[in-house]
Amino acid sequence: MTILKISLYFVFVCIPACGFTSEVFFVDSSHTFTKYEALDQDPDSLHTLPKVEIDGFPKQTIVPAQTLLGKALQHLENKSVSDAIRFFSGVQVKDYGGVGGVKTIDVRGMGSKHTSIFYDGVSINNAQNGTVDLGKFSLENIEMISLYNGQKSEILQSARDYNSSSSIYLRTKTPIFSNNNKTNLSVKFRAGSFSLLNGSVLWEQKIFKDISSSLNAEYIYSSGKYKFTKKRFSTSGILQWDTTAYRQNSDINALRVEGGFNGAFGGSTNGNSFGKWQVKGYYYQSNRGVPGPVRNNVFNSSARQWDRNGFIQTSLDGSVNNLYSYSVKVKYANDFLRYADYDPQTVQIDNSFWQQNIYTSLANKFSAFKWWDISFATDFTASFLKTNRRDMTISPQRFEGLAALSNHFYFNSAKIQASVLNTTIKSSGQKIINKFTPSIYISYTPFKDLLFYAFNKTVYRMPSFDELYYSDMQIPALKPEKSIQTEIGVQYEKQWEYVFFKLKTEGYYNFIDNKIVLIPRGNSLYRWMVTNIGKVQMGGIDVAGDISFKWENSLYVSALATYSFERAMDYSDPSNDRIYKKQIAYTPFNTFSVRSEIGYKWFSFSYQCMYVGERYENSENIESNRIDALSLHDISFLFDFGKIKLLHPVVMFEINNIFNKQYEIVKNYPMSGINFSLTLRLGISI
Amino acid sequence: MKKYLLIVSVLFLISCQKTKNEEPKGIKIGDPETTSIKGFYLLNEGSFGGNNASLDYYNYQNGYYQKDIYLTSNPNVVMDLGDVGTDLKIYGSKLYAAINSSNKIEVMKKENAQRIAQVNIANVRYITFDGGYMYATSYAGPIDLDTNQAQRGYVAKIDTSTFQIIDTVVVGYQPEEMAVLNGKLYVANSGGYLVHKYERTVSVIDLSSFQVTGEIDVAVNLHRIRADKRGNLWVSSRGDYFSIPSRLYRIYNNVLAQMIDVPVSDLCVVGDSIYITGVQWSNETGSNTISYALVSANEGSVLDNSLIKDGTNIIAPYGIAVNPVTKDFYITDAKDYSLQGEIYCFGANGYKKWQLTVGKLPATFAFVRTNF
Repeated sequence: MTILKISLYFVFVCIPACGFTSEVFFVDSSHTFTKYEALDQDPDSLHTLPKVEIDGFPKQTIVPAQTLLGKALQHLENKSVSDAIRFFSGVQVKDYGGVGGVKTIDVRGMGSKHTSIFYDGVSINNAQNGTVDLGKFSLENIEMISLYNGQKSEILQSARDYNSSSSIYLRTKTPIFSNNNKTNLSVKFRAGSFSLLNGSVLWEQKIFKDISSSLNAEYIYSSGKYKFTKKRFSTSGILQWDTTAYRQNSDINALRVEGGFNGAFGGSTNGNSFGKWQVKGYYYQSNRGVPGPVRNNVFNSSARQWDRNGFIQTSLDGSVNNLYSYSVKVKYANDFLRYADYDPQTVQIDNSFWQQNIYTSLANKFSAFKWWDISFATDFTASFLKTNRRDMTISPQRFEGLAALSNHFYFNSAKIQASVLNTTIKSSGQKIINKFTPSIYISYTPFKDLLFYAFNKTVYRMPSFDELYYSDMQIPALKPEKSIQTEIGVQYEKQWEYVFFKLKTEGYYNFIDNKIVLIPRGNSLYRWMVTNIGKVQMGGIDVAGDISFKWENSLYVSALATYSFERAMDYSDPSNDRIYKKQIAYTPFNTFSVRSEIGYKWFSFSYQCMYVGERYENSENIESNRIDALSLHDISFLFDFGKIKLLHPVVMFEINNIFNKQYEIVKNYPMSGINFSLTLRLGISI
Repeated sequence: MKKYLLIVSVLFLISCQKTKNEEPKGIKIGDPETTSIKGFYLLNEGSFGGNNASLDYYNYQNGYYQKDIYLTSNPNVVMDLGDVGTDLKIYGSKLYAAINSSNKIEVMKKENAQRIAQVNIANVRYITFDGGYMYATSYAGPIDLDTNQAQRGYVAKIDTSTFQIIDTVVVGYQPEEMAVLNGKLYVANSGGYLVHKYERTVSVIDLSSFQVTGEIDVAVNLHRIRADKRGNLWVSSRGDYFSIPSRLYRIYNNVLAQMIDVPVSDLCVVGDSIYITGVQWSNETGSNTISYALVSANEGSVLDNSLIKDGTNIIAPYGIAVNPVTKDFYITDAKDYSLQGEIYCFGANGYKKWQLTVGKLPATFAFVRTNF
């Protein structure tokens, strides 16, 4: 069983982090460009950025995403990606606590392996366990995060963009040079609770007219020794026991360095060929403690994890003429993970994993008519894993070919994307899997500001290496997990002179069949079984409202609230009425969040609150499996003094969990109470 | 806080006194019966990391089943009974529970499971008793200095009057159950952490010198070991979950005497009868096969391939125990190993008397005899 626990931590990945100062509201990506353009008067805006409108039509998706960028993101820049994403409706974060604790997300109860993460447009592939630890990503160097349910419904995108139930896109900061500056430098220092030390440097250089480079390095340390309290009350409300301790073995030491070149060529107005390209290198390493569950007589653990993730990726997006556009992506990733526990009190483990990944993608778009675009994208991925794990005798390989054919139709007030994805996968020792999956996305605008949209999408999630090869007892042919999602939504959005208002409501119904379930075989057996027995049906409503007021570039107030209701029912075993049609594990019925900001000139204040309703640790919805509802409140004060000659100082003070709420997201993994941090940033542009 | 706790515990004691003469606690589930067996405790393992091991008590005298008696008797113990309860035994006037992932043996009063002491033993597995001493197996022995870094297990000898560990002896890899026979302690080694390289031996410890005096080669991945009144040791092998199936073996006079072709998850030796449940995984069908067996300790043969005679279906039989007087027997169902389990009571004729939903992974029984 210890092995089961450990498998939770075999999470490979990549990551990031550095400053963003452009003053943009929280908006949907479908409006990103108009928003940017409306801000051209802002000295920090993007008008010097080589603007590439690859589509003749505005670069839009049919179904709007949830997006965070600009000021909203600036207040969140010290948080992890998962901390920011939890403000999106329909998202649950699974968090083991501390800076170094594993953080994964679950969108609409589909399961964490159903969400793909794209970093600058290229997917982060983890063949080993199919999930990405979002705790490794800092927001520092990110200028935009978007979450798409189903898929991003752009016309020119890689086949992988069609290949998951939900997708998160992280876009790193594109260098912006105002006036005739050629160099931007930014240095950050942050200190805070639990011995937090965090520093970063960002250097952006304009090399030629349309070519710039950027180099970013960040280091973070935290002892992770936070105080937590656990209590129990009797049914009549009498305190029976309480205990307070410091969280042990939750430290982290991490370094991230990334850099690259961005360029653009050609002109965007006269119909000649034009495009943009990016070359990016990335390196991350960490050394962290892996905290264990707090239990009677045992408050410590001594497991440690070392990560090294590196990748090189390059992309080229362009248009040859009015008829043909292309997008090419190539990536090589090399990941190392070591998990070791030499505590004599527990199983002796020292497992290392070496993973390599080669990815290429070519997407083509043909604009046959003004109202009809066709695209064809092919991706190829090869994954190789080596491990010294005793219970795994092979070094698995996987070759995956994806092909997507997609049609976009544009009518006066309606847009349609109809696509089909072919997936062909060959994994070591397994039969070839070949699947066709369709999707359709429709939007309709009866009049300006109002948008109706809907989608239906089928996709298969392939078993990850740990599901296929690590279990001792398995179904000979583990089938891929099938999901079918249907959503309808309506969005009303209005921009007045000073006020922006948006209200979005979505209803959905999803099915998951052949859900891959890990079944432990009893504690004294320390063995588990992987099967396809799971069936889940989930229906819910996500509502997001956004209102902001901006006056004369000096005062702004914004508030965003989200509410989600979800009923995710376990249909796996009709013969077991204790779990049949009961709410699945770690899926609250109700979730609510508020984010608000008020800013005047160089000062802004942000308040964030989230409520996660009660949920259960498994499908048996009984009291002893119940996890209490929680509400958390964070505030931050940001002093952005703007440009003072060459310098641009920014100071931020954050207080998280201001009411010192003692809570757990994963049972017996206590989270931290109130904590503080102070950030100083100095930018120089010359 | 201490002061507050004190007040709370005083209040609690007062409230306990008040409730003394009230209705019996728990759920009325069986018919009252009066034999030399007063009741039994059932230890629910709980899920790993869940810190939800729990103890139940069934009272034969009134037919009431009381869930979570440890919690009722010890409401102020921080973080309750603990994480992963692997063994439960009564010795003298005390009840002992090995709590594997809480690295301890909990010592309680036999009457009401009230906590007396705890013995800290890392990665403790099973316990047994002889001559005023408790013996406990632990996985947490010395670590081999070779590249495999495999860790040997040990057996600890604990004085049951002082609860102090007075000696330890290193045995094989990942030792499980023990049995005492003729002044020797027999330890079933599993090698469960050494996947594909399981242990095959029973270690023999001389109880007077507390030294390992021999090894008996049996089969891979040993688990249960019980002595019968005829001087046999019954040892179960879990198999390797692939090609080698789980089986029952008989050791007589320190020599492997017999293999019996039944899979064993748990077994209970009562007189000359061995009650067995088996859950055997097949990679070919991708499913579990459930089996039961009644084996004669005298003849060394399978008497019956079914214990349950009324068609009651148990999804994942986990623990089995037989009332030594009435021969009523109990089988627990671990369901999918994450949900609450179920206890089934069968009469000696194999017909179900009652069933009840209990804690997670109900596994180990301890019968309480009346004091004379």
